[in-house]
Order: sequence, then structure tokens, then C-alpha cells
Amino acid sequence: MKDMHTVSLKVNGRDHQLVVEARRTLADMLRHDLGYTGTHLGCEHGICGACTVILDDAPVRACLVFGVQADGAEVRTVEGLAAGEQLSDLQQSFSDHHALQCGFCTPGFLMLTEAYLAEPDGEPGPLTGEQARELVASNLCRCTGYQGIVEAIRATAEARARGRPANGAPANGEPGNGEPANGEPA
Amino acid sequence: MVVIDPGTCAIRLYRYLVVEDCGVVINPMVVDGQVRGGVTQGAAAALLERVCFDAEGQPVSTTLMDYLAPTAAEMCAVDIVHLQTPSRFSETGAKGMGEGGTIGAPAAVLGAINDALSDTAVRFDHIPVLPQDLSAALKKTAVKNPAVKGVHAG
Repeated sequence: MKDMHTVSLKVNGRDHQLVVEARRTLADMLRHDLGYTGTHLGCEHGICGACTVILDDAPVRACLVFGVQADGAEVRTVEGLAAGEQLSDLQQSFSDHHALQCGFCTPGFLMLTEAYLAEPDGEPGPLTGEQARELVASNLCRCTGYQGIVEAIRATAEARARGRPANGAPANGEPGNGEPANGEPA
Repeated sequence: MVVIDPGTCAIRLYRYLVVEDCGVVINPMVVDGQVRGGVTQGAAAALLERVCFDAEGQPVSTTLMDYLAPTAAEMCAVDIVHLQTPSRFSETGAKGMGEGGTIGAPAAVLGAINDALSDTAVRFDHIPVLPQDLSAALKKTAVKNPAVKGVHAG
């Protein structure tokens, strides 16, 4: 018999309630049950970090978290970053610095960095190259050689530390700041 | 250029310079990205990545805990110098630039490792060069030549 559970959670500011099996991962729940397919599954064993989402302000690997663990939580996925067609400052910086090629790992890098830059203790300020490399060393990218990613993160951290967003895009750093419609799956 | 820790035999990329010729560079940002991505794949082949089989032929490096892909922490910044010799055989004068970094990197990294080991009798002619390979090779030469004590950065 299947062990079913009711889960209530907020994804990108939008309320969801659903019934899932106990063994359903958060990644599968987001992708298959709720349609947030921007979260990508790479290795499915917690190494590559492509499935990173923000669970109550902390970056987590959605393949290593069960859906039921997100009951009552607020989840942010890559769909919640942009305001409609307007990319967030971090997304725009990734684009400007060629921080992606195939783009498969990008949602994970974006959410990892977003969680770091929006830590409740305040903006961490500008990052050295070494700090930025250490930050993203938890995730794998097979295309870029990481240099563009490191540069994009440093530029965003610096722009946010200066108090104005890079490239005039809104600093989309607060959890749940988007209108519910922004986070709707395509 | 690599730095070798004499204690752990860990090999770190310290500086990497690429001089490449893809003919006419149409989109510099894309070309640089391709070159850096290629170098990362090739350098990782020289330092980390290995497919292992057991005695029965069963593959044993089957997860990303066993097969080590490089992270940002293993890579250094890659500087690029472009030579632009237009190809006579393509419409735009461009040539391929995706594989160049990957093809050159293993030999370049191996050369850098051997350069760093130039004060010792140890030389490598195969990849990957893992810390345990280096440690074993240094111990072997140390037995033959007790004067060899450490490894200098090079």
C-alpha cells in the first residue's frame, strides 16, 4: 500500500496543497506534481547541485529532500527569479558574463547564489574570486569552466553591495517578493 | 603552471594560458567560453577523471563520488590569446574552436607537472596523474636516491 501524505507548501509565493507518496523527492514533487520544471535533475544523488532550490531561505538539493519535508515550508525555484520577462539582476549577470552554455546546471547555480547573496544576516558584500569559487564548488558545470559563473556572481555581489542592481534590473533578492503569477509554471 | 603540495602530493592548477587560432572570431564571448570549457575538460582528464573497472570488468567509477568531475575550486582562471588566421575553406574564415582546449590541455598539464617535478627524478607520461600516483612515484625514487626530499612548485 502506498504511504500517502498531504503536503501544503508555498512555491514562489503561491500556495499549493497536494497528496504525495512518502518517498517522493522534493525535486520530483516540484517537477512532476506541480510543474516547476525549471528545477533540473542531474545526478539524482546529491553531487551535481543542478536541482538546488531555496527551502525556507536555505539552498537545498531537491533530490535529497523528500517532498513531505517541505510541508509548511516556502520554496523558491528558478521560475521565481524573473519578474515576467524581466530577468533578475543575477540572471542578467549570468547572461552578460556568458555564465552558461547548455544551461542545464544554471537553475542550480542561480538558486545557490541567490540564497547566499540574500542571506538574512545581510548582503555578504563583494566576493573575491576564490570566495566565489568556493561558493559554487558544490555544483557541477560541464560546459563553461566556471570562469563566467564566477565573474557573474562577483559582479552581482558587488552591484548589490553598492546598493544598486547591475544593469538596471530590479534587485530581486527578497523571498516571495514576486507576484504569485510570476512563479507559475509555464 | 601547477603547484604541488610536497606533503599531500595534491596538484593544483596555478595559471593557465591558451593561445589558440580558430580563424576569424565571430563572437568573442562564445569563443572564450568554448575554449575555457574545453580546457576544463582536458585539464580534469589530466588531474581527476578516471574510469575504473574491477577484475571482472565491472565498472566501479559509477557515481560522481567515484568519477571526479572538476568543480570551480579545482579550476583556475584561464587567460586566452587569439591568433586569427582566416580559413580559406569556410564562408566566414572561421574554424572549429570547441575541441582545441580539450585536446591540448592534458599534454599541457602533464608538461606543467613534470616541470614542477624537475628537481626530482620523477616524470609522468600518462594521465591522469593522481596524488597517490605522485606519492608512490616519489617514494620509489626516494628509495633509489635518498637525497630527493621534497617537490618544488613550478
